[in-house]
Amino acid sequence: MKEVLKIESLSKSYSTQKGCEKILDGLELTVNENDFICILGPSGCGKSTLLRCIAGFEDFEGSIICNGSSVTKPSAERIMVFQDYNQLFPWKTVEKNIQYPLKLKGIRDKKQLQSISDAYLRKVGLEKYGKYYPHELSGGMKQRVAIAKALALKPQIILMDEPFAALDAITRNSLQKELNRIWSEDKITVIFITHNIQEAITLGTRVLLMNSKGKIVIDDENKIPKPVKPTSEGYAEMWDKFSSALEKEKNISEV
Amino acid sequence: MKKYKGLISQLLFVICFAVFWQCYANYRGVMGFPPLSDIFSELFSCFTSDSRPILKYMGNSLLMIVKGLGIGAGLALVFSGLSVTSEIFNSIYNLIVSVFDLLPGVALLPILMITVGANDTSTLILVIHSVIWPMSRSIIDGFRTTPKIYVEAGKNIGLKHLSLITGVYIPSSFANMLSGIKVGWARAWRGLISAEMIFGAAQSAGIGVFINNARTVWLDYAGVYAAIILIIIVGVIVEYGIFRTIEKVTVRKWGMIG
Repeated sequence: MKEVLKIESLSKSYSTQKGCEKILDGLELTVNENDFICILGPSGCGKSTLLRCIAGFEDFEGSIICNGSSVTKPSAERIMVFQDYNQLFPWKTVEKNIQYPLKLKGIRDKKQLQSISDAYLRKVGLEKYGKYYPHELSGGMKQRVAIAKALALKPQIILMDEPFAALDAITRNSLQKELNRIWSEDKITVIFITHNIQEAITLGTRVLLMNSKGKIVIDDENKIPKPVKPTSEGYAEMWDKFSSALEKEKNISEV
Repeated sequence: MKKYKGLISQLLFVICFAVFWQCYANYRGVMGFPPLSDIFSELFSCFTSDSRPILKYMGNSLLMIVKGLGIGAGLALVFSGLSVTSEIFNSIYNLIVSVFDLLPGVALLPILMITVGANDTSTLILVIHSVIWPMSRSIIDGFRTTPKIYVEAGKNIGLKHLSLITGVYIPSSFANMLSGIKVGWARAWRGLISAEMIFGAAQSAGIGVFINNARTVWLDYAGVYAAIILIIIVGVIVEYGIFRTIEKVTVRKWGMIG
């Protein structure tokens, strides 16, 4: 299986009032094509920092290799879907938000741009909303557009930082289903940060747990057949394993 | 009916004021206080007059303002853009903006008269001065308050340096830029008319020159008031016809202001 991302000895420190605080400490991770990696961990363990390092937003020590090239700056090959609904440009319509990065990538033909944005809006069920401005959409719809924008770019990897965290339970469930469907149709590679064990087991082909010292302590392949349901075989065991490990890590970080 | 209550009260006030003005002016017959009927007939006669073509004077003033606004806004955009990219330039430019923004344009007139002369160039400099500082302040504020998420989303899709400024910072700061240009326009309009009245007959005589001539040469006070009314009309058109329309088709449509 083709290796998309390789992270070796990744360390990241922040200067705080208490001095230098190490967020990530010698983290190692290999991501293969079509992996859907879900990362769990206690608050402040460096999950988002890891994603930001991969996206190229942060300086770091160690190495991150994406598709053979060293990560030094942001790139559309490693597209990020943020937690914040307001990641779309409010001055562009929904379809222009999708078309703009494609233009920057070199696609100039208007018909081609239109057909790509139409196709991906259809994929996320928003084909009627192309001419709308982001402020006219709900939070869930905005996140759908952000996902469509990321998919249209056909990146090497999509980085999702708790994209459904601020949504209500019903919207969250429907978006999880949609994302599962898109993943199986488009064979995308995803790293997905979440606090929600159910979400991690439902979406991930691999579920990881980071400890409070910025290291990956569990890296389990999720063998539960999709669509994953709480009644699926193996679900309860996996849920228990991650729940107790998370609880343990939470207690350690609070001491 | 409730919806129009404010409008009806305003209209009633204007009618009462006009009636009072007309009666008082007719009763007193003072030179500097002409009846409204004289003012409006003067205004309309000036529209077609060859000796006092008020619209030509107004056109000259507006041309000067447009030139000054264009140059001032362009310079403000370039300097503000530079101040986002360079820390040193930012601190120097910040100092310049803070100092000159406090300086009324008219205060510069004596210096401009000595150094540049009483001509169109001086007036243009005064208009640029009125526009560039408030506009720079607004643009820099807008750039600084651009949400981090737009900047990161922009960088993520490959924007950097100039493309990041044009693709993210400028549209994100559009509401600030618009309020900056409104302040700039108001200051420039006041400054321009003052300068024209002080310089007197400049190369291209504007509406300020018309007012001055009406008062000193033509001894036509109705003409002075006619020019004032025209200035108010232009102000209303610019504010409600131009700025509000731009606001409506941009930041308001984008949901960036309520």
